[in-house]
Amino acid sequence: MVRKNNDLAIWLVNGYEPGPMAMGAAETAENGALPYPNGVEMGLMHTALGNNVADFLTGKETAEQTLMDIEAEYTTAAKEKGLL
Amino acid sequence: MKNRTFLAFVGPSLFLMLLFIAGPLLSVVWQSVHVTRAVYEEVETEVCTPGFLTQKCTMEIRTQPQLDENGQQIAETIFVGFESYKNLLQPEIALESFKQGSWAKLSNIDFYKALRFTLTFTLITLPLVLGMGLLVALTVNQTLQSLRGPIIFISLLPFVITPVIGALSIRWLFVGDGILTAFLEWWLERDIAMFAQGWTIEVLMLGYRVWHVTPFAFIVFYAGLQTVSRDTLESAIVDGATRWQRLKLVILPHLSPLILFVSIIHLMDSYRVFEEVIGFRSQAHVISLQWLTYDFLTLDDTGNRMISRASASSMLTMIGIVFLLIFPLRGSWREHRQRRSG
Repeated sequence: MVRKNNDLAIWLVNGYEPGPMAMGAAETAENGALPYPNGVEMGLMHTALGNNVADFLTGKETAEQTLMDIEAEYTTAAKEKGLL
Repeated sequence: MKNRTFLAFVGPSLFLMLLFIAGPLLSVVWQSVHVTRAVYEEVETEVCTPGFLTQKCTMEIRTQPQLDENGQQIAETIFVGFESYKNLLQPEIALESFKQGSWAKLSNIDFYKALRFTLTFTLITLPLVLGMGLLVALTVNQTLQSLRGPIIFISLLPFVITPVIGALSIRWLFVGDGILTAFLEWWLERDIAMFAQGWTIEVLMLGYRVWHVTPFAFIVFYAGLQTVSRDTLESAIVDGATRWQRLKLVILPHLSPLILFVSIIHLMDSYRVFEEVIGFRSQAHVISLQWLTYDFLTLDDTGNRMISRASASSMLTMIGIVFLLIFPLRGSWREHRQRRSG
């Protein structure tokens, strides 16, 4: 089945040979692409980003100020969670 | 009444108040000075690329929660004192920006941003609600007896609508090219975006809240107007008092306990402003203290919530309400004592 439909999709099955369309994805994976680090830290980071990025997008704050706010909020939250 | 009968009457409600008010309050106080969190350890683990085609594995040090023998995360609860309050209030930055007189810097801290909106919202809507309520009550009191029923029914409708739905419908009237924004654009011949800046959203919120709560003030004042002594009013007319003098010297003093009552209820309610923020989706521009608590309690993408800071924030909200209520209550207490001694 995989051999018959080799080029239609990227398969996670033994015997699959990446075709020309899938070479990019295959090479990235082979060269050490990391999985998305979906840990507690990332959740805190998303919250900090989400709460502060609006100020930058609406033009109320500069990018530097926004980044500093995000850092401060993340640090506070991570300390509270015992990560730092 | 005998002490025993009194206790038997009051007992059940005292018990329920302890259970549903004092209990949760104590628990919030406790939670605001404690933090519960997972215990983390640094472990050297193998990190592998997604296992497709070939897999590459490297050794790496990562922070991960400790597990007990059942595979559950070990959680610890520690006493942190006022740490959560400090995280919320950021006293050093606040003091510094206070010295510099920089509001922009102060409002960069969520708590002060929320406090600013909550306070202005409460203090601006209060006189508007009292004034509008009194106006509607006086007007209805002047109309024909036969029309009063339907008019009272219609003017009570805004109070019956669920707050979130009411706020949403106002939003839909104004958002984007909503009917009223389109009308304003046609009338003023210019582009208008009601939800692109904070102050227009705030005006809509204020208008919505006044529209929503006025019926409550109205019905209380209307009931009060029914008990104004006709003799006093008639003698005032005989004495040649104008309509304004009658209102100021007879009706308003008679209604003053009710005005106090409506003020207190409204202060308590509007300091907890929340539905407007959700209904108008104003989080990017305007937030309230109650919304801040909600935001801390909302689970983030990986299931964290800041219970300690949420408790601290709700404690501060409660302290704010108590502080606001001191002023009207102190005034009425003084009056009460004067009346007693005089």
